[in-house]
Amino acid sequence: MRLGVDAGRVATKVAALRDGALVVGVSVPARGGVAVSLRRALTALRESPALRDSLHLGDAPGLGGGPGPRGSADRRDSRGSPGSPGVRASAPGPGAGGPYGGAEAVVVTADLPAGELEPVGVLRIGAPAHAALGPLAGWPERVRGASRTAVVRGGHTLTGFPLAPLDRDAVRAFAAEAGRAGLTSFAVTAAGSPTSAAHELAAAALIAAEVPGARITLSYEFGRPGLRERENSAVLNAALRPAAERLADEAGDVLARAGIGAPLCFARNAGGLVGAEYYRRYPVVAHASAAGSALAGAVRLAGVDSAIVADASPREVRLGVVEAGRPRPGPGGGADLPGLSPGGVPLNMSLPMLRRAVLPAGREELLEGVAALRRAAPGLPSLLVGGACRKAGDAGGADRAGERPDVAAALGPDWTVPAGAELAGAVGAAAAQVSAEVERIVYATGRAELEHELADARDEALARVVSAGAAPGSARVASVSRNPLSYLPDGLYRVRVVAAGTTG
Amino acid sequence: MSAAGWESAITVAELVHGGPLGEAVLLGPRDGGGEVRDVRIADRLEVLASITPHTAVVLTGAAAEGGWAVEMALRRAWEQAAACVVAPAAAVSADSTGSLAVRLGVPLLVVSEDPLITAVRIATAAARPAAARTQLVARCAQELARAGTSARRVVGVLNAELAGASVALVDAAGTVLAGSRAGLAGPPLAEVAVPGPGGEELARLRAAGPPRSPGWPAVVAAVLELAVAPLTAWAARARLAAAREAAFGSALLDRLLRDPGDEGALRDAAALGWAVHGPLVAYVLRPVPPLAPEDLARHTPGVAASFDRPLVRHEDGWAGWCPPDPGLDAALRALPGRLPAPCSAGLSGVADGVAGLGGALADARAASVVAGSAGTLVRADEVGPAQLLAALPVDTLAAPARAVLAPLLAADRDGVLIATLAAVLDTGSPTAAAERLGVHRNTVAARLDRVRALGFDLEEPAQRLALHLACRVLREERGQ
Amino acid sequence: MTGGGVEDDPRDRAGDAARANAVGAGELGFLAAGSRVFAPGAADSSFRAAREWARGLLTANGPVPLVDAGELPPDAMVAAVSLVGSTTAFGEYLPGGDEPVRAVRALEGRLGERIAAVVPLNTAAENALLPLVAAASLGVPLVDGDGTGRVFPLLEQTTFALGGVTPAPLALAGPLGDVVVVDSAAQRVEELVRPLVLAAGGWVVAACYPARAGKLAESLVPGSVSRLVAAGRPGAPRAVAAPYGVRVLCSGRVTAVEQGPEPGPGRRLPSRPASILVREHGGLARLIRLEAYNEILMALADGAVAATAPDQICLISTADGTVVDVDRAAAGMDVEVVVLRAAPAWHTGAGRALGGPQVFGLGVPG
Repeated sequence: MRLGVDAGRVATKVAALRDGALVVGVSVPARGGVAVSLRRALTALRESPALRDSLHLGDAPGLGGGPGPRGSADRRDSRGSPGSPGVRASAPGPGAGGPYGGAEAVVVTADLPAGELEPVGVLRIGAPAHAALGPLAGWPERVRGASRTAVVRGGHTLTGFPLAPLDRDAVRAFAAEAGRAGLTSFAVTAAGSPTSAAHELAAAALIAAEVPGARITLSYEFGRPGLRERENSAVLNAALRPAAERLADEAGDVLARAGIGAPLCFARNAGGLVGAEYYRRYPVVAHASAAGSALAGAVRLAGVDSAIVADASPREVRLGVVEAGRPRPGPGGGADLPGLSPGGVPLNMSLPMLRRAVLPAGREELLEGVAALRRAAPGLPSLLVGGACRKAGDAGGADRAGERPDVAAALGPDWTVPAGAELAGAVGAAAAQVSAEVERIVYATGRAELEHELADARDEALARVVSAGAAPGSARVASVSRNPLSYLPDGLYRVRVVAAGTTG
Repeated sequence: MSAAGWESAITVAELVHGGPLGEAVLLGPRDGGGEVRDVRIADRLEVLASITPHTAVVLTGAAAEGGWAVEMALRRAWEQAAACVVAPAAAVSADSTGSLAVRLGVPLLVVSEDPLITAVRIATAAARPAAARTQLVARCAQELARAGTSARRVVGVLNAELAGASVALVDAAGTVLAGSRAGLAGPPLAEVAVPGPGGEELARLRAAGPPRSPGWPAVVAAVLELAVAPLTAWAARARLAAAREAAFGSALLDRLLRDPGDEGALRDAAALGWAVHGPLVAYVLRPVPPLAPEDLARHTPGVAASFDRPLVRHEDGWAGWCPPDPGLDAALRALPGRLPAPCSAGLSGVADGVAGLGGALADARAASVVAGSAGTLVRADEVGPAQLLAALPVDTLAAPARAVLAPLLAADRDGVLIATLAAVLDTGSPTAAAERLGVHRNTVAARLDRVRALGFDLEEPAQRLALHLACRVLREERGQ
Repeated sequence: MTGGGVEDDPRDRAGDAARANAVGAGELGFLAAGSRVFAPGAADSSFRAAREWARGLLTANGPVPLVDAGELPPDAMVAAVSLVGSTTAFGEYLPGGDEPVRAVRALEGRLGERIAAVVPLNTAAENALLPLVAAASLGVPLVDGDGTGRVFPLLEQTTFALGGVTPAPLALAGPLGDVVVVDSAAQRVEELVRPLVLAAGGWVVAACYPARAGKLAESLVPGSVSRLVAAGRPGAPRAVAAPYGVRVLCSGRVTAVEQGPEPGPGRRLPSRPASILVREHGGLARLIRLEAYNEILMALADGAVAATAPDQICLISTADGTVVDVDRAAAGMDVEVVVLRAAPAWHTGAGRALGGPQVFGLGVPG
């Protein structure tokens, strides 16, 4: 059994999947943070007769793991909100987690609140750029205010030669100053790091020496050319890390208390999932993942592998296309994913192509979007899912049905609402597989050298997918692409390797 | 051998299929286009503006600079009704350029050699089509010589060399002995008889496929003729070997039965893959109706070949043995449909090594007799008196039975005496017989008295058995 | 809209340069959108960087005046400004901000006189924005026009060249602080500049084709900048960006992309040839073959020439209406193949000789 958790802003939904099929799901109103909502949703799920029936448990206690460690119970009590409805005041008794004893994985899709972005020490290694293109240009004041930035000499050409020696003194001075300002999250971006990350790695060592306990994100991990996008991704990752670590801790704690020994995972925003440990280091890959999870879940619920999907939340309707089980990627940059990019700064992730509309005002926009997607992906079925997919009053669940716009009426006929449509996000999360990718620029002057570089990138992708939570035996390369770069010396290729695997 | 059409213009298909451009890849229409009367080398696309119909256009230089140039040449060739376009492999992508060739119906020949050499080959073939065709026939003769006297290889050569035609060797009943079933489809391009070693018609070689040019059927017929001699040789050889093997197998079995310790026989048996140690079961196939010895001999190779376990001629049928095997039953049951003559089958119980083989074969044979009708399998360990009686050859015994019972038959107008006698002999007691017949015991006793009065002594064992059999046979005959 | 309220034929607008008289931060968004109606690269790092750079300058320095070449004194010196090199490198080695000024000052040093205005060499994506950046940095007006009316891979493929203006002397300034002045015969420029660009970090701002305004007015494609501003306004039909006419060759699906051979040493073109095969949806279901060297140079429909350079051939994604970069075309994409008629200067004997497919090795018979 796999559990998917869709921690939305309005409701938290949990879906249990067995052999890829939805067994049971619950929805509870989101209150008191992701971890608290998760705990309440798991309680509701455990008490759901459907789960008991499906597991043939009757009234007997289950066979799952024991209660969580005593120490964590104390921690939870000290900062939890015991008064919230649905939260048990006492630690659960033996067997409380029984129904989940056989869980293989728990996959969370969650958007960390924008308010929890930490200030970041942003170090850029390369030549100074025009002010409009400098570090943190375009970022909202709430992040920029307490952050520190510096540009120091260094970096590499795309063919891998140093532009200038790394200015180590300047790096130390910057780290010291940021440390004095109380910063612990750092993002380091060097010009040319998709080809050579040497200066990023050297700078990280200097910062770590200067600021003990610093969390350092290096941009080459998001190794696409395009310095601003890479830097912004690294900064966002660094800014998310403290909140991500808290969420991973709290959610892990909730699972332990529920007796769930299965690995905790987080759905990626571009499809797939990563383990909690990887998430703590690279939360940006899982940030704003709800949209992609809902798209993937919709096709799974409908039993098809390709569809046009409308994901209706009480706030807005999101339209996307799923092909062969995976959301069709958008033009990139992430500006079309709300909540992902602070202030709309460009990022460098391959995110699902989405069109959005807010009803009732955006009905024209919605229909236009539908028409565009049908042109783009002719002949696919149309699926309507999400917390607001049913007309007010049709659905039970926890959403308040008050002034909810009638999405189905706005969309018109030809839309199928699959069974369990409200749980699409949770279902998509639960069904995801571990994935990780490596993107870099390689400079190879001959075929043999290129093959060597490709093999190297494959190895790194496999290593990375294992560190993202895949069982080593299950890791495999899902795709390899290489494109020559125009107007540059022969032998420069952009290489991208995607690896995938299964948990446990 | 210059039949009609031998001199007609060569076609694109003939150039490629076994012709002078045998190494070329033909993209485009599957039926291969029309006649080639001329060839033109095009080093610039402009050349294509001035070609005449039925010309093969060989692209070189700027006209073969890439897929785009080849596509433009195809288009112009189509406009000019050219016979085909020949392009170097480096300039062509099979997917896209090939689909345009299909779309326009212009054959595109992709060659790896120097296009100028190709042009010379085409020019020669176009100028002297008979010579080109003779060349193909000559090459086939060479390949056939290399194939030897294996029917499979001979027909394989025909199918490979006569590309575009399908050739099959088929017997009088329509069974494909070698080659492709497609050789039977549609009207034949050419067909020749293959005589057996004795001169009788053994099979026919038949080629089918599109008639690509007026000359093509004649070429195909010429090549098929070349294959007749090796095929006749094959038939003779196959027949000899089969007869030899069959006689050897059955002699070996006799040796083993005579002396289970005959070391030479045991070694020969092992060489044939026959089991000689450990537990064995024997099986017997018995033709129904029985076959004359010469027919048994004639069918032996076919029977042996139709079963994946040993089968040799033995007494009035075929026999074999193997280690006990759960699949044997099913294999034997599936066998009759594949045999050349209808047979019943018998299967023995388990015997220990070759020493027990004689007994096992006798059991299996008895079981095959019990099985009676064709297509039936009986296991010896399942045979009881009822089966044995049921297996009586009614036809053979009916006349003697009538003779034995003649006095009784004469006296017994309504058949009650025979029925009573049979019931008493079947059940063994007048009381049980009365019960079976639904009459009083005294009635049975009275009828038996009448039987005895006619001269039959039921207490005398030999007479009792003869009577019992006679009753049984007559009852069977009457369908009671 | 800056013009009248009447919806007019875009062809009429070709010579009408006075639609906008300045480009400020407000018009920038329209110009940026208009510059991509028929050019790829919407999501490229380099395009975003160029736009942010321009936005920063226009916000700080105010709008850049947009002038007709005829409005300038006939003897005023004008230089064309363009990005030369790799957009990937531009997105990675970001401009320090002084590249246009360094290039223009170096050119002025060579010429011995000041530049009165800058003119775009072409107006595709970044190249519509960099001349604006240069004008804003230098404090001079931007000429409403450009030197190609489309985009070509080689520096010498311009209407300026057709009008008798030579690219040299030209000055290059790169992101690592380098400045190089090149003065040579027109046909040697490309060969000299390419290795310099690589050495300078993969991209440079080039100030080139210095010419008197009077001479320039005869050879430029007029009105390009204001036209793109109009084309980029929400709801504007895309034909606005194609003043000499646009037609849809077919609507279909990419069935294959074939990479040509690796270029050997001494290559003249900055990329490998590629062929894109498109199967037309419906209609005649024709097979369309597009031959590309960075730009699509020729379209064959069932083997017959349907369009060639110097007309511009674009692939437009049916999914989102954006232009598909040749490098990123992939089997399975649904596209429209669109042909934009080139400016009249290209449809002359000299124009075809300079911008026709034979320049790229595609010998199309007459």
